[in-house]
Amino acid sequence: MSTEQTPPPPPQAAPPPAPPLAGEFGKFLKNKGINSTPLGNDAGSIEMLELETKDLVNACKLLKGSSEIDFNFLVLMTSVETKKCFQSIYTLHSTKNKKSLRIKVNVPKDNAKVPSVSLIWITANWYEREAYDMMGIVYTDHPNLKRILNPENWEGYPLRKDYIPPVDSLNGPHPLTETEYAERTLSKPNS
Amino acid sequence: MLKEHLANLIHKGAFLKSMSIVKDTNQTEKSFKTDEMVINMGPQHPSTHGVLRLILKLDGETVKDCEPVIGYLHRGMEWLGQNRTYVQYQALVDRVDYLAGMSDSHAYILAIEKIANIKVPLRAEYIRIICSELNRIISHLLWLGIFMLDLGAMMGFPFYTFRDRETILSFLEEISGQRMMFNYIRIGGVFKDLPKGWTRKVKKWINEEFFKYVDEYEAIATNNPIFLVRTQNVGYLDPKLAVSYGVTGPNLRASGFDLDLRKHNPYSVYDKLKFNVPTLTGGDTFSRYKCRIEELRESAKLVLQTIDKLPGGDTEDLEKNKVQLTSGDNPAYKAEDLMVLAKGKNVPMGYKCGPGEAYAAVESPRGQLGVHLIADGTAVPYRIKWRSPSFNNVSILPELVKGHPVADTVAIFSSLDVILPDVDR
Repeated sequence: MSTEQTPPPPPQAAPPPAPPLAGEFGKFLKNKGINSTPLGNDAGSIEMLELETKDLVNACKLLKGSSEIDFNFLVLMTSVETKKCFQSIYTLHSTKNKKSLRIKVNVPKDNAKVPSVSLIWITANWYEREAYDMMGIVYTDHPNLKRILNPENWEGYPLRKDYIPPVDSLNGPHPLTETEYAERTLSKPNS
Repeated sequence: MLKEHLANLIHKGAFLKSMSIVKDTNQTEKSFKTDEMVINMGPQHPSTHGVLRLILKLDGETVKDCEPVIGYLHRGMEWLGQNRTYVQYQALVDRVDYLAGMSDSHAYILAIEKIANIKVPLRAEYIRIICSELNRIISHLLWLGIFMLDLGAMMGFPFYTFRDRETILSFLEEISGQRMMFNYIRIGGVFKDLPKGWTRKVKKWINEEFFKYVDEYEAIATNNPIFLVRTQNVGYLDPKLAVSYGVTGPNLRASGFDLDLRKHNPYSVYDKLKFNVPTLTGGDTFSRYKCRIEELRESAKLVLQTIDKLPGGDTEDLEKNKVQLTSGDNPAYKAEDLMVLAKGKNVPMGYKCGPGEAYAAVESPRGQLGVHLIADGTAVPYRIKWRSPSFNNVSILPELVKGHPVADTVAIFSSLDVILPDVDR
């Protein structure tokens, strides 16, 4: 068995992909009066949605409270920095229906504030603290928003792309050189 | 002065009441003025399994509140992932949860394979399952030894479990070359096929020795009155509360909530295998212990079953073939050629993946261990996020220890089977 494979090169003149249609949960939210942008399915065929910041808490309450959908499990919360904005990503799961949903919320970089969902799923309490610690997203109405993994006096938010790690005199060269090396040697697409 | 004071106390009857000789303790408790005391437990405390710090608020012996402080073992696993290629990072993922390295690799590789849409040979899938289940046994054995130690069984009980753990570690070392940081599960398969006679050796050990050993552990622990007093009805975990906290694994199943990803959402080839998922309804420390003991047996049975179903059967004797090929008057290969082939092998450093997004999760010994991978089409992951089960499992600790004495804090925390590198990543 081969340990490394390369995916086939993309075809040159591919037609622009059609915008994805609203899935099951997108339709459900629309019926309840909440607009969402469908993002298609991910590689594991999980439906993805994009919500506006103001709709997040209402949508989450509906998705958890509805007896037929019943998203009782907040599996994971991720925070990502894209070129334009930060993203707060929620992966929900229903143990009854064995279905999952991923909600993405775009957060502007100059005013990174998202309402907290820690009153809906207690799991979010620590995940939001982690996202605040690593990415600097502020979750409003969070009961105890402080750093969780880094020390409380830590400067900067380590997972932001412009973060410069402090010089580590014990463990050899400056970690940034490694990043620069990776960037120089590995080609990155323009998008 | 002191004598007078004591005599005064005895005269009032408070002394006798506080020694609980007199029965109406309620009145005594009311009459005592107690102060809330804040004490710090850890991060160097031996029974915090590494470096967890707990800030406990005590009223006498009773825990009123508890706040876990984590991050003392934070190594920046997610940052490291964003600054290394997929293949380079593969060697680091075993350190996320160092007692279940196979599960870590499995989740990470599954996420890549989902995005890149890679099909894995069937034999490799079965080998992955054998390794994961052996890894589950290792992890539970270590937990069992430490758990008894935390409860005060200082008579050398851990040595029994560590003895058996070493045997399995040497099995895995034989196939992967490393004792704990295996790096065995690779993109598209596994590092190497199983060596000859390995499966027979594992089967023989499990059949002849392992089941007997599990019975021995139970004979020592399960019916021991001291053990029962320390564990039964201690630290009850409500299943609904557990789900809202995101608790998974044996902790959740011991509360009666049947959620095991191997059955719930079968990955790899778990849907082709027959096995039971032990689910208990007690929800206390004893049930969590019992659940893991049952899982030891089930995992061992699953290893036996997977070995029997292994496609391709036992592997051929590669060493023997090599000798035949390289020795004699007219060998097919010279020994030097083989060495050159191995040395000059051109291993590509980069593996381009995506663009895409996937969440892959496996059932690790501690619960649902997942990787959320966002790939942008380069050889470096754009974002890797670990869903480590211990992170959620430790967050419920304040709910469990409230109202229990300090000594039970250790028992409850230990029964959750939290691994601190998994919490802090």
